[in-house]
Amino acid sequence: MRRKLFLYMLMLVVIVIIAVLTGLSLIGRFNSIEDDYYEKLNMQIEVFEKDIINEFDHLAFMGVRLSENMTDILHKYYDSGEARFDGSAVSVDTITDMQEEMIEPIRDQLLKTNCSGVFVMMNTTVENTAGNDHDTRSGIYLQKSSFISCDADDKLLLYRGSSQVSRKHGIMPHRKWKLEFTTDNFPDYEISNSKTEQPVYNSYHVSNAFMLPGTSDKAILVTVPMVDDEGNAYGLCGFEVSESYFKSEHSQPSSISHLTCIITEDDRPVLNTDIGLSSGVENGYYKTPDTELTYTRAKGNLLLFKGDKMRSVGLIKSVFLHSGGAHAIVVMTPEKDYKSAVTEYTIKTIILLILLIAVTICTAMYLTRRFVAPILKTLEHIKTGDEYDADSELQEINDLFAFLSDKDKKHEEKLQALELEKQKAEEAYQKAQSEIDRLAYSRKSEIDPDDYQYFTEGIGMLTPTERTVFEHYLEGHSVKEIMELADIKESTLRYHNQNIYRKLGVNSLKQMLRYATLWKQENEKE
Amino acid sequence: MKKLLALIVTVMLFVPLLSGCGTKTKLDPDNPVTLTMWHVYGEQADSPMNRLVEEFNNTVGMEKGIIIDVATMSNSTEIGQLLSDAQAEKPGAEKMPDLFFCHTNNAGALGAENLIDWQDMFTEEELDGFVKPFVQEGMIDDNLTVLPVSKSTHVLFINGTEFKRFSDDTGVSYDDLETWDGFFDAAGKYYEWSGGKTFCALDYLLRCVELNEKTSDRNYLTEDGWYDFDSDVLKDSWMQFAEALAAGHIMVSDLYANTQVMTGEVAAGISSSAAILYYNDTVTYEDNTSEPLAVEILPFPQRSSGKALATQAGVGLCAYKTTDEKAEAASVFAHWFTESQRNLDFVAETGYMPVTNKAFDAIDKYEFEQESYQKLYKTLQKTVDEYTLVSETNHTNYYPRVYELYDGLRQMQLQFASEIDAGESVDSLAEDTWELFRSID
Repeated sequence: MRRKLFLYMLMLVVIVIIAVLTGLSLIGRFNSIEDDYYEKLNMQIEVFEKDIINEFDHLAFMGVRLSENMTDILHKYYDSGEARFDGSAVSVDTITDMQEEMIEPIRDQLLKTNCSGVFVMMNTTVENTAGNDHDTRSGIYLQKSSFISCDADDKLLLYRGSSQVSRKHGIMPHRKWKLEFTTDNFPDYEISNSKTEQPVYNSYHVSNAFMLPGTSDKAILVTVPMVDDEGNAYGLCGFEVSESYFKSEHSQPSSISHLTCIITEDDRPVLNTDIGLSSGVENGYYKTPDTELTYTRAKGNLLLFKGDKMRSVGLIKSVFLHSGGAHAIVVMTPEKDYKSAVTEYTIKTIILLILLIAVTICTAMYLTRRFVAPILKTLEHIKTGDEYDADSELQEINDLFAFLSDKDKKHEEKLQALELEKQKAEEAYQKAQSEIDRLAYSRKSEIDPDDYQYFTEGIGMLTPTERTVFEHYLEGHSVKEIMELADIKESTLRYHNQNIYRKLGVNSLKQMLRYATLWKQENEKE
Repeated sequence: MKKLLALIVTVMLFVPLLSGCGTKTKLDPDNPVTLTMWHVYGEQADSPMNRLVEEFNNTVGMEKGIIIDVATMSNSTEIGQLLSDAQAEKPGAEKMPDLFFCHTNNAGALGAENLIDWQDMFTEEELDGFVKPFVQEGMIDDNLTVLPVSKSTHVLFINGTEFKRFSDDTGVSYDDLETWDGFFDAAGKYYEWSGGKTFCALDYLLRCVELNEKTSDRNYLTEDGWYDFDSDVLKDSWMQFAEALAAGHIMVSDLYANTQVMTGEVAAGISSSAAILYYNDTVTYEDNTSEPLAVEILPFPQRSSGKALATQAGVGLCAYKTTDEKAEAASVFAHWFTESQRNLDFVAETGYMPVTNKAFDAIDKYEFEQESYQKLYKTLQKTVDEYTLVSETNHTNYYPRVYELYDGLRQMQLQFASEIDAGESVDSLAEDTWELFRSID
């Protein structure tokens, strides 16, 4: 009984656990951490992708407009022969005039554009009287020193260009100001002086990030060639997205507290973050990624990014920001966080299971204690006790006992009546037996011993059929019953009767039965 | 049975709670806290502070669970304004940073009660290791709200190549620039020699006026945090500068004197010693000729009588009160950042004076990589040895009026040349500047 109960209760525990776990799975509360992280990171990379595409689309569009505006201005100087835009030197006055004309439209474009800076690099250099050999190009490069839009107008700095011109327009030189652009490391410089037949809107390019000379900030440039209708190149213009701007403006809203988002050249399997930009999350978290990141597949769809000092799980995607090739965008979160989440999840699951088991066991124990134990106790009591104890804790048991007790009582009464009847019957039987014995004794004394002797010997001479008929008579059957039992006709029975009488030496059925009763009594005594 | 049940429930309830016991720190390396930082070291340039923050993040920060994120780099004036906007939650303002570098007056405006008192984070013994006047400068009431991390003074930066030409032709030497009288004399001669070029741009004109006063060491500031214009001494000092200003011998810098030196607009600049970080190796003129800057750095010119005075300036580190976890993280960073050797390395890269006694003693033997830094620290040493360092005022209302004055002077100085050509006298124009000064209240 106890073993069977234990098995039932065990089954109950298993069923409850399965039911709860299935329920949790169905409502999605029981997804694995990999699924959970993948879901979050996937949503994050989609948001980041959209953000990046919007930003660079906007910069390309504004860059093309800037290129057209600047080309219109510079074309006049080309037409008048004041500047050839083939890399040759131009007088200070002409350069000053050009910059004077360009600076306000450039400032306007910068203020209208979501970026950290704007540049127009002309394919000319300032003619210097001292004959210094400069591999430089003239132009204007303005930067925002603050990314708060309302402050932007009075927070512009001249990074490259004429400080005289910029001061006149209220723009102060940058701390690391220089008059001209150094061409050595300037992205896409080589296309600034080459003729092209491609329309400008197809010729923009998104550079890799490079360190802005003299500063600790790096930047990506969206470069657009300045080309007139005849394909003459005047230089290069475009917008700057510095790392500080990118960090400030592209920090992501996220439920992942430690998130790093990167855009860099898609040069898999190794990602060089030095030539890309990165941002953190809006809650303030930002961690500079390691310079080189390699990645392998982690669990499920997640990737494991490894650097010198960091290990992160995340996702990677290609985006096409220009016709020159793909960029990779990465969103990732420290592997440590992921592992902690897995550990926490495992602990929670174990606690949940323990809790379920404990609760179910407690429930089973409670049920056993409240319902099964009283039944067992009562049964035990019944085994040892004489009568039913109607004082059980369960009403149903009490009712049952009352019912059984009532039935027992009726049985008892019936039994007593039967016993009484039996006693009476036995007494009647004893009395009848004594009468039979008395009668037999008195008859025996009336019967002729020789006739009786002849009778007993005659029984042995009866044929089987005669013997059967004889037995039927002894059993008290009537003539009619014997005819049916022996399946014989009356004449046949009469014939057998005559033979029987003759062999037994009797004259009538009455005489035969008297001798037979005596004979039977004697046989029984023997 | 009841005991078993009670035990199970107790264990389940207390296991998660017990896991948090036994450790005093609120920092968790597995769940790092991020502190945003606004600083002034290397704005628009290669920032030694950023490199130091990176080093912290990759070492102690990683070990203890702290990430410092440099959210804004700017100058102290702008940071003061940004802090005020952030605290007022003005539309478009940045979120209040956890750590920032600002002047004591900016900290006072934010309210000492909103800032961490560093006396709660440093022991008395640790604070004794700091240069005492620097610590005192950071006190608001009884709270040390601005922890000294570096101090600067004002020095004279000179385009060495240009000055040599000037010196060769006129005989004016660097020794002549030791006093204000010699300085103004040289500025006039340079103006003549160069055909009308300004000799020097001044970043902090009013500080020069204050420290030039000739007969008294008394403070000219009233309780309202502005000047006592009834003082003849103040006017005498002001007029000396005003006349040079009106004559075009000196100018109030457009933004930073260093950019005006680098563009060849002026031959010298009086700036914070920290401006060394922003000087290029070359000066480039409008006609695209360039030459070595060969920067020379001289002490702040001395007044003609009394002990020489020099300014004691520089921002300090403040931490905005938020959570205990962030306060602990700020304390870890502040301790790490002000360790003597690190403090020395940092100031040696940024043109500041160290703030701990140990670092101060060690700077004599420090080996600088660049000659210009070697020159700067020689000058700083001389300043510390021979000058009395005077702190700037901490009055909240002071700086907005200073900036108003400078903006007015910048507008005026654009017209001085044409007005003189039109027959105005230098004295009259100088008097106009005094009136402008007086008009600001």
